[in-house]
Amino acid sequence: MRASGNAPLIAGAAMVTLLIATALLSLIWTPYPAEAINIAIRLAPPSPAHLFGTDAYGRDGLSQAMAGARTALLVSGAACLLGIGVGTPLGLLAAARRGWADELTMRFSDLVFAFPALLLAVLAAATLGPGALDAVIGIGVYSIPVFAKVVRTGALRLWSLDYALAARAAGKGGLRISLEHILPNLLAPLAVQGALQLSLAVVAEAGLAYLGLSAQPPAPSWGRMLADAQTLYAQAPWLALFPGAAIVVAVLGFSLLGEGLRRRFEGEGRA
Amino acid sequence: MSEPLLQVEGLRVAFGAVEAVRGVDLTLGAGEVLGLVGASGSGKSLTALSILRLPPNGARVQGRIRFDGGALDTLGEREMCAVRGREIAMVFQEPATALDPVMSIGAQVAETVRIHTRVSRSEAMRIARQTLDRVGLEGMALDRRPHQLSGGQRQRVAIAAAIALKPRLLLADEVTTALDAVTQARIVELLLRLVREDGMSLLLVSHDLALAAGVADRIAVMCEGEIVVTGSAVEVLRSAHPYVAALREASSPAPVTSIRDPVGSPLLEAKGLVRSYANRRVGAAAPGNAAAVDRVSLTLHAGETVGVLGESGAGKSTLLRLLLGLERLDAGEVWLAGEAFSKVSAARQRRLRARIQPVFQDPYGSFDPRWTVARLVAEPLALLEPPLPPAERRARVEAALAKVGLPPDVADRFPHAVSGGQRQRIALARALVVRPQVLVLDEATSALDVITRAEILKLLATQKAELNAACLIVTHDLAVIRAATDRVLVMQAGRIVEQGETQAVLSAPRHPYTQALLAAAPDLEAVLAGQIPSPSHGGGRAPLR
Repeated sequence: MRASGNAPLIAGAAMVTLLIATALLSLIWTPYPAEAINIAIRLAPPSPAHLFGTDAYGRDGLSQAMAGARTALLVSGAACLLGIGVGTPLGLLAAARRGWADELTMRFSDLVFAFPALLLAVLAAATLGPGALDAVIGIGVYSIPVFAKVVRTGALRLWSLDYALAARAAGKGGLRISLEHILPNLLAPLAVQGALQLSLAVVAEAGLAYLGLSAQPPAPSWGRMLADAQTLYAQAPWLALFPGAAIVVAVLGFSLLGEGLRRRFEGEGRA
Repeated sequence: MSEPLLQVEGLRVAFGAVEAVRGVDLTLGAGEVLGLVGASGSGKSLTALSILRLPPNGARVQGRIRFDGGALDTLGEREMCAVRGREIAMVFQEPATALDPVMSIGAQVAETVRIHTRVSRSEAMRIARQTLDRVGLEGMALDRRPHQLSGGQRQRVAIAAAIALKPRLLLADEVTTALDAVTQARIVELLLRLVREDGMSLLLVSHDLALAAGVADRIAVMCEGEIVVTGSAVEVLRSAHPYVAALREASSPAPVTSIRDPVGSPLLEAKGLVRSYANRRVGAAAPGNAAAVDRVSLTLHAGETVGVLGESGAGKSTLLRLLLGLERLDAGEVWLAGEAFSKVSAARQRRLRARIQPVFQDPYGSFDPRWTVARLVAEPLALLEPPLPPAERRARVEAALAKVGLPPDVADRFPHAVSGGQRQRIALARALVVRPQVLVLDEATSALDVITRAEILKLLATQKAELNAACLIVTHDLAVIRAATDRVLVMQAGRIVEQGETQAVLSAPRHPYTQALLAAAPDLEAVLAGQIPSPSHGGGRAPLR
């Protein structure tokens, strides 16, 4: 009812919008071509011509950061879709069938939980060769159990309500009730978890890119910009500053959005 | 005479343009018990919450509230915090949600003490122990969690948390509504004892005129945001005000049954049903190997209404789910219209489902909040073979809504946008839409005020007659059993302990449990006849057991 007073939602939405707008803009316009090398102006500090300075190959920092937003959003978004796409049906199944189906999905979740996203990405890189897909698989598979557990917990609560019982008395099976009654009522917690998971994915993607396990050059990426900046830290500190700030904005934006959505939905639940 | 403890003048609470409380005046003396009675939506809970200055979001509150000689309505939030819990405490209707599920009961009671006083942790726990003893939980370990307790015990913990600091005024908002009659009587007895011992004043908010009449020194009857009658219990009961007369009549609804000899073979028959949770995993059931339903048999003929009476936890709801084929049977059989409902194939069972339809208790949990009323009511139509064309579905839904007395425009609303009484009508419409032969009602009137309850019962009787259906009513509410059933089965701890024709069982109960249930029910007639002295003036109801 009152969107005001929900500062996290407003701030988060603003930051995420900025991020998405930047990524979209980078598709049609960047100050310079993001991948253009110009050794003549290498390691130029920030100036009106190059607001974020240039790197060791003379590439424009602002253009790279803008294009990097694209990679970050694509990889994190795809990873979260993978997590939601597989985790949600698993959670619904576990709650609808209970018994062995529940045991199996939850033990599988525990098993996957035991492997950090990094390890999964290394495994993917070993089989598929390095690329953005590794990061998607690594982060995505890691977030499957997160979504499975969120959905299962919410679904178990909904199954205990009388309307699930009434639907069963109306002859509906587990699948239909899950799709018609359970899932639509879990969209709120899924949206909250999705936003929080996106913020984690952005950090994970940057970490993997830093290690060379995400998008490969010349595709721009914040994590790799950081990696490149590391050896030049004393000479060109701005090289680390701007991609670092970009990651902070993205992570903070998604976290605030998640927190804001949670408050919003909780308020609804109370009404 | 000195100033009363609490004085409310011209209290108004409004949500936008809608005024929910319209100029309420109340006074409450020290040590007095005031019953605030009204139907749901009459503004009685809002009045209580406004005294504590805790109105819901979006409410505008006006009016003067004086407490113990000082004004409450001008206090700041900080000063109000010092009053809440310390001087004025409140107990809510639903003990399941009023307690924090992850906090031990000792800590919850100690919390009140620690907020308002500077005592040590161990001293606070000692006070918690004493208070829990006072509310009848002697020997209950302090580290128990709310989910390990029964509804009545939880309510005792909530009361303990409220009275730990011996407040001057206790606001009790429908504190016994969610409880069965026996537990209700014990909780009321406890409240009155605390009032006597501490000289505390009590504002008892309830929709139950009979309950309030039995315990309160004075009663104020509230209707649509205004107090329409106020006075002593007998004065109010004898009042000629039409609303009070309606309340009084609805409190003990006249029998609407048509007793007839059962003819032919039974529509629904249960033979030796057993369901136990003994082999379930930890946490799935109550501790111990209790059978939730233990060798229960019953029959139900066309045109007949049978009641199952019992406290919460007696296994009534499990029995009902077994009858509906929604839970696995450990032993026994359910026969529906001459077929072995519990044994036939899943496909056949699905086909048979259209003949038996449930109406559930919880007016909030019964409906998917994202579905419109039309879609909700239409849901059981999926059972019909062959499937109905959309236009006919819509017609059936509107016909069902009309039958339960709802206007067609309700169809496109969402369940949260209709009142509690309307929700229960929608639940009934959902069951009626497939024209079932058997209706099973699970506490379907428990959350309703007496007037709405009487309307729903009347509605049920006409619809039942129209379909020549049989009804099974599961409830803890004696008034419903008395008014609506031909036969009654009394259930305790999973077993049927007594059964027979309703009149016979209620007038001469044989089993001690039935006797206790009957003794615990509030009785308007007895109050009018002066048989029950107002307990706060000594005397009181005979203790149970």
